[in-house]
Amino acid sequence: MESLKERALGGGGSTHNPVVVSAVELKGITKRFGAFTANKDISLKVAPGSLHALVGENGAGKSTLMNVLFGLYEPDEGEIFIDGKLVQFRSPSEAISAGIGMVHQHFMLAEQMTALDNVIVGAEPTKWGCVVVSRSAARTKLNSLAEEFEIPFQDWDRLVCELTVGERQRLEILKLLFREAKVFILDEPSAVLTPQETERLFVNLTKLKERGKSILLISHKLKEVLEHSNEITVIRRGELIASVPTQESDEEKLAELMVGRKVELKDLGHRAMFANTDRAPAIRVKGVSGASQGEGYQDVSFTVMPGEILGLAGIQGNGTSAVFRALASPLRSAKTGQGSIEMLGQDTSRADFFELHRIGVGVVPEDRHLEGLMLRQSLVENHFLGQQNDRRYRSGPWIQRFALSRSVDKGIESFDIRPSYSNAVLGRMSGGNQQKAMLARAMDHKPKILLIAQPTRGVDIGAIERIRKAILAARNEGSAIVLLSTELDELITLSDRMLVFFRGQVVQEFPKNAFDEWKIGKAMGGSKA
Amino acid sequence: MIEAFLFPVFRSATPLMLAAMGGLWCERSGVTQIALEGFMLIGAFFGAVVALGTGSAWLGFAGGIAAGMLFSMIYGVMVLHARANQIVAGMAMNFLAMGIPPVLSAFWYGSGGSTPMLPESARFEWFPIYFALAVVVVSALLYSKSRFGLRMRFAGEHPKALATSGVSVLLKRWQGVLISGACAAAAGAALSLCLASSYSRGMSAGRGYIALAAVILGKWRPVPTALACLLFGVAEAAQIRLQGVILWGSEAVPVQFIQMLPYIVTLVVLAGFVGRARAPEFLGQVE
Amino acid sequence: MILFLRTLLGVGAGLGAGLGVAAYVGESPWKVFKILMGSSFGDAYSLGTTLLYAVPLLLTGMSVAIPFRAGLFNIGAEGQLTIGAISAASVAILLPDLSPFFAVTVAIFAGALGGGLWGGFVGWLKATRGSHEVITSIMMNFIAAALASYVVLYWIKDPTSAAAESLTIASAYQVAPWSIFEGASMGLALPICLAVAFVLHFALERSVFGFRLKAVGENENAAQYHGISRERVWIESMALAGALAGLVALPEVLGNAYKFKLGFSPGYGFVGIAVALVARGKIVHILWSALLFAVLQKGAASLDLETEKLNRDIVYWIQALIILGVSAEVLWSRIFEWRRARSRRKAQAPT
Repeated sequence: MESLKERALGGGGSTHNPVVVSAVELKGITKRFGAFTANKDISLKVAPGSLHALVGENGAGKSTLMNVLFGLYEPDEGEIFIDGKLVQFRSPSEAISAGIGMVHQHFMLAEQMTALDNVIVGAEPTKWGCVVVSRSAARTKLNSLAEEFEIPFQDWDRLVCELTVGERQRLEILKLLFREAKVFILDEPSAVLTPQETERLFVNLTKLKERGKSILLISHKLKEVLEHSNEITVIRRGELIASVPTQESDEEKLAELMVGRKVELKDLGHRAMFANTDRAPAIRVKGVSGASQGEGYQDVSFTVMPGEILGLAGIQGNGTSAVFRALASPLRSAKTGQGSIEMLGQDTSRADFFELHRIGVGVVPEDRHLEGLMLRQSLVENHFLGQQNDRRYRSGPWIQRFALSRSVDKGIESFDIRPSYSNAVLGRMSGGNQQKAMLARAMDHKPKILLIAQPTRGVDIGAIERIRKAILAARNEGSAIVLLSTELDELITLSDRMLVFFRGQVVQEFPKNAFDEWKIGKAMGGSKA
Repeated sequence: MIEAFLFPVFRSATPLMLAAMGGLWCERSGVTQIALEGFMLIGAFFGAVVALGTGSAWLGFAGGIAAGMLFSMIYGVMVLHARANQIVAGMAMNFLAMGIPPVLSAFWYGSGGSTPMLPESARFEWFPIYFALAVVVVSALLYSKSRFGLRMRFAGEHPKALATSGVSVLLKRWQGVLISGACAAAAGAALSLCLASSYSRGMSAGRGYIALAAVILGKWRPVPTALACLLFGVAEAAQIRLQGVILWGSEAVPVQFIQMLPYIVTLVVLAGFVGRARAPEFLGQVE
Repeated sequence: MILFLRTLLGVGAGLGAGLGVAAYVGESPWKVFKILMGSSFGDAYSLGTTLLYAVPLLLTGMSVAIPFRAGLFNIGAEGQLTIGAISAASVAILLPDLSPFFAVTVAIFAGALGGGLWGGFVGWLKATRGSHEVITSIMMNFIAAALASYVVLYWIKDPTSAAAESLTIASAYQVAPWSIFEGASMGLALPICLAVAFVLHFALERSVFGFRLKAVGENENAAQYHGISRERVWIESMALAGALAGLVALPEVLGNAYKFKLGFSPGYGFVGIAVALVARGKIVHILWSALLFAVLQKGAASLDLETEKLNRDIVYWIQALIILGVSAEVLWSRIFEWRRARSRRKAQAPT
């Protein structure tokens, strides 16, 4: 490892041609937030026309580093060179005019504005002395850019909310091309894409490279990084661990560098089939159609046995979230037609949350900030949410705070939630601990059915392991589990069976022994394998 | 007949249109604006004070606008820098605006809350009406065609996208607040210099809130907002026309019911026709 | 503790700025301060009169604070208390022959019901039509004022009086003042309203009802996801708020004037916003914050009489400045929570 680091600092960035000046060079960048050091003395070089990958765990400091380069943060120490020239960015606009562009993980697009307006804002071509926006000039320029870089896009007048995730991402790239960026920073661009769309993204990025643009790619997906990048930099806990040319690296080595120890994520205990096919299914969904938050689904049927994890796979907007909501929060998702949902022998297609809770269903909602937690409140308050009618915690109109906080303490212990006191405020906890708090709440009444969505989104590796183990343990004890995740890896690791959704319909069902990333990805893209 | 009807409608709608355009730009930039009522009072009072002092309606109008902008700066500092809750701070501005004219008029004129009558020469007959129409037209053009309008809309729809494009969101929101101060104060000056002939206590009578209702009804777009103001103008003109009119039976309609008319119209329109209007995505949220 | 200090500083800043204005127009701030204090607590009569302001402010303060928990801003307390008062007065005038105990109960109930319906309507409009409660409740304030004026002038007018006021209510409805206040009209209303505050305190902090309000206020989506009906909470909290404002009929109509006078309220509903804000929505704190604003209201009347250049409207300034001072979150947190803010930024920064 030492030798890797030495080589990185000595000759990194000059993998193509040692004489060429680096497109970007960071020298000794340090960024502190109070007592916390997010980046410590990081140096790296990006060769022009290359794709440089930045890998590391959640919270390792990748995004902070890129935000420094993009002018969102000012570094406490260190220097930035663009094309060999020392620069200092006090704001994104200075970075932009130096030719740096960034595609953020959460797209910076206003949903209710047109695609064209989103691309041009801040860099509008104008006529009549900077007053009037010349949209036609913008359109002409954009069409020629789209042609030059082979990124097809025509729907300039559509609102962004009508575009697919892939289209939005292409729009973001065109936005940077429009601003004449030379260096592209992409933050986890493939997180929301299917394998096929990801493939297409890298075709586009290759085109950019060929035309002399430099790319900095933040990712935690080692496979795609190894396949497409020229050089890889590993960051752990704010420090640069190594910079290596891609051809000299492999997945195992990278994972070890990233985490700092041997990782065996895929091995999570007993994998035998537990599903007891003799018993009645715990969940029976028959021909359900409906819609929720603009996302529709038609004629969906499936069953889940006790002791089985059913994975719901699909790209955002293709029905998985809506189906999940139809199960977990039936009253809030409009259903049409005659389908039925049965859980533990009871019709729950019109049940409210308390009814579900009573018959033994536990829910971990998809978005912990939006749907799951009250961030300004304590663990106790949050533990009570959804359990208001639980006899243990309520007598008449009054809350039994003593029983409630005892149960919170139990959850803290069994899930290792930190900080470990029941009055801790959720908003001050890490994503992993928030997620654990939701899991503790969902499992508090020993449910026979667990509905779990996105259990490890934005969670660090330590917590991921713990959460996944808890889910498997619940399954091994005989719970029927529905698991929704946009991380295909996670579904493959945990599920016993998988349903793939496309445009609101189940296009294919995969049994455990037929899991294949590429085939599942293809089904997510709409074609049957 | 048409003139006899249209003139009062436009006259009544003038302060509404001015205030509504101010509210529209402020809310478009992402800042909730319920202090229009207070800004109007400030504009009306200082407009009358300056017109009295100089004898010129024009200087009075300009003075009112300047006072409104200064006053709106307090609001700007509170919500954009001290991050006060925008509705709470807006209500505080309304309180403050209720208190300023009576105390100052006692100090300057020895009267309890109103200014002396303005001479004919220090009043407007037509100008504020044209001014309001011009503000609407300019707003509509800026909204759809200009760089300014595009950036203002992004400040309310997706401030981060604007910031990462290198435009200061804070600057846009300050512009929004100042425009609302200027426009609402112009609306107030139109009240004291054109619709009435002096400043009198509480003369805005809820028009600031009705203007905000018009913005919501107009879905935060200039032309529909102006049309909504005209609708409320009709209600107000009708209210004046209906006083003492015998509609049925032998007695006049009680004056109280006629007074309620604009407010009931606002309520019915808000509840009945708008439904869930979509406000700018980041309205009221300061990063 | 820090929160309390911040609030205190906000109040101090507001008061200070207000007294500064007094100095500007040529009155000694010390004199103004002495007038405010002396006229409020000088003797038992003054204290009683101050309480006569404090009790309605306690009610309207709670009326603003309770919907605020659920994320609603009740600007309509003024209209709700007007409707509550006119309802109680109408019942008391139109049904003169009830027995005393029964009569007072019925009148209180009428006041709470009138205000509750008026407030609940705003909640209902929001729940079913999506109309923003701030604008609808302001419109409801104007409508309430006109409606009350119609009822008092056309239905229950006192023909012998030149002012817009109702007939005197029947004696069975009149709540007698306590003698300890030496003639100030304050009596049974005080313990009743304190009892209401006591019950509501526990309801908010310890009951499932209070939890539902808080859940909707803290995270509407999460609350709905977990089975709490946002719409029901809106309607319930606004109706409760209206009922509390309507209770102002008890100290004002039944306990003080014995009739409905148009414009009897010196803006209790609006001052209630300031009361609730300074108390940061906690009912225990509303008790003292209502008293503080009562002192200002009471003192304002004395300022009219005892100074030459100031009139009662200066109180609007002080109220506004106190609200601004207390709500300037960042200003005070910069001073007190500097270290905490630092660690918070630290927690948010990395990804």
